[in-house]
Amino acid sequence: MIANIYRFDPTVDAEPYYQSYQVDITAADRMTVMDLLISIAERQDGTLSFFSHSACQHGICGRCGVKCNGKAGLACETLLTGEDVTIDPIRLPVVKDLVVRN
Amino acid sequence: MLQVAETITSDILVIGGGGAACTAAVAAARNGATVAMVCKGKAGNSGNTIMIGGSYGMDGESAANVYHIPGADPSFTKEDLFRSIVNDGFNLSDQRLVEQFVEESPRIVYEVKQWGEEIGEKFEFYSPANWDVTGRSMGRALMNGVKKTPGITIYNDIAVTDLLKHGEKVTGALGLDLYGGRLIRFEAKATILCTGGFQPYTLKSTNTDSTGDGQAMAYRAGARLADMEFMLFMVTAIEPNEIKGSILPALCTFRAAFDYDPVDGTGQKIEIPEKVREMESVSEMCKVLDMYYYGRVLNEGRASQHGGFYFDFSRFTDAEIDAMFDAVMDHFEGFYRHGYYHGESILEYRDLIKKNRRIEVGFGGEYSVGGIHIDADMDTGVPGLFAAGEVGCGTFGANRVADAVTEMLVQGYKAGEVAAQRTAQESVLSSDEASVQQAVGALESLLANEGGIHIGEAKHQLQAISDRTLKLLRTEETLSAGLAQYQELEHQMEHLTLQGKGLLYNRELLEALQLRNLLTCSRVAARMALERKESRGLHLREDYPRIDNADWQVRLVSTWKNGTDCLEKEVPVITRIPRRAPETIDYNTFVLTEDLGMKNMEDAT
Repeated sequence: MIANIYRFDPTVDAEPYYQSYQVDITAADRMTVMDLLISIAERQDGTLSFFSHSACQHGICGRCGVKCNGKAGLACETLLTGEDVTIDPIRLPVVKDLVVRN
Repeated sequence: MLQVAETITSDILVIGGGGAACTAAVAAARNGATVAMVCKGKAGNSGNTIMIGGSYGMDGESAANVYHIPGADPSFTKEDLFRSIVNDGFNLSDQRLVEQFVEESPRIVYEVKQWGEEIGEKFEFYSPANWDVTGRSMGRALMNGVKKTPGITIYNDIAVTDLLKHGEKVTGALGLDLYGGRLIRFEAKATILCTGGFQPYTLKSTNTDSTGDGQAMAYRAGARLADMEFMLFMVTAIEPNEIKGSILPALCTFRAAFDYDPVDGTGQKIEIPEKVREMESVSEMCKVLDMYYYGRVLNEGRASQHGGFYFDFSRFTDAEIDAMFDAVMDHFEGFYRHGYYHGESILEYRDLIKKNRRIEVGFGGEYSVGGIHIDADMDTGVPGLFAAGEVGCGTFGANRVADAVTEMLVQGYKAGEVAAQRTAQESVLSSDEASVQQAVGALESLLANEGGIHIGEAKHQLQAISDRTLKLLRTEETLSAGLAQYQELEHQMEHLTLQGKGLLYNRELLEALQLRNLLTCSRVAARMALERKESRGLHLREDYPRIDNADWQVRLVSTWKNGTDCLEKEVPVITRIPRRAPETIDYNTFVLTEDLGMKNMEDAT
């Protein structure tokens, strides 16, 4: 599947843009959006920023919200189906990429 | 060249945002201090505090006679609570710390309950003197207490990277403002570390911020670490993948309602004596015993696909499985939305069990018993530095059964009181420039490295080494090998290379700092586990299956000197309950005695 992810580093970029990552995930893996983002950051692109510094991973803290295909939800609770996804910040402006002041 | 963007000065600096930090801040402010509370996450919504899925409490005498709680059982006396902590801790507790826990907890336990109830949070009483509470309710209660106390300023989403010193005294800390992408220098008369535990494992039920920051920073600043070999595990979900790390499977151990067969990776039933299994319903000591039985299975290479085992329900009908889950559902009513435990669906879990007739679970890291060596004033021995809650150690000895929630509240409050009172007449000292430059330089070199190991790889290595080394049932061979591997990883991490080179929400930089801290804690833990040639509490050795009360009724304490961990033995402070008779008890016998050893241990006094 392909993940299109909103990127914007206000210290460098003039405009936000989307970056595509090819990942090998199927519905049977029961991967969450958080798993996807960690996987990309660890294996493909360490510069990707998303909420991860104090994450409960179980829908408790409520701080990892993103939009997945336009729908707002917690990254740790949103399951991937194996279909392509577009991940956006839950709102603007961003601190960097998917991170907002929350 | 990185620059410090701002300097923030207060009387007391509290680092952390959970229970210990909140009560420390309140106590310091009530004693006239201005407080800066700096949290890596968000105060009241971070750390192990929000992961609470249990209860906290006090002794029954205080609950019944001082606070007049209806239903409190005064027959559970302060003496009983004291003895249970020391016994459950296999006599390694610092009994001054136990005394502080027992004597001072009722006041803050009751007050935090009031803070919560004022804003409509549910604290449900059960006998003798405990309250069930959720992590978020506890967090909100604590923030209510913090917000109505004048003199506390909260700085959220700032990761403290190092302590700063003036000579030998801790005079502040360097903070990395994650959302602002800048460095902040905090200066204070005293600093209180309330940063929680360390979790080096692949499978864990803690928040991602439990990375041993406080322990490692304090160690670098000259404090001692102790009891690091004692790690508490809990039954944790492996599947379905989206709830991996959840302690939801623990509800299957509610023995009044549930039954299942523990089964290994080959489908063979794991033989656990029935009286040991019955213990799941009466005592948290079952965790120690589970470690022993499941640890043997894992060491024999009988693990399931993902390193755990199965709860097997194949001898039960759908209706019976439904009945088991129905019986526990009420327990969570009012704490979480219906049918959920925290954010996870109990019904989906039930349905997966009905579909597959078994579910894969493992032992995940839950709490680190060891930490910074403190006295009953929460003083670390390093001038200007205090520590409270999970980051410290001493109350629970070799095994924690009593409430960690109570621990964080009562120790935080004490640290805040003592720090504020002792420094009331002092003025703030400015940190040495060399100390600031050293802390800033550590960040600069991380950002400048090229061509070395990547952070993701280093993190997976650390977790894999920890899974093999600091596991349920340990051996000389695995501990020696693991220690060497930690040291090799440390060597590789000198060249750890980040792709992102800026300070603005650079998650690689934060992960690198955390990994460095976790590695320090893990290395010291492995060294202590290797040194302790016996089985005691949460440290079990396959090659030393005995409790050695002749030689090992001592704590291990480590100091960082000239680039080396210097280990020493320390006899625990005894105020009331004497040491056990100097004999050796076979572990196999110990776990099978009728009362699982606890009564025998009492009799030995």
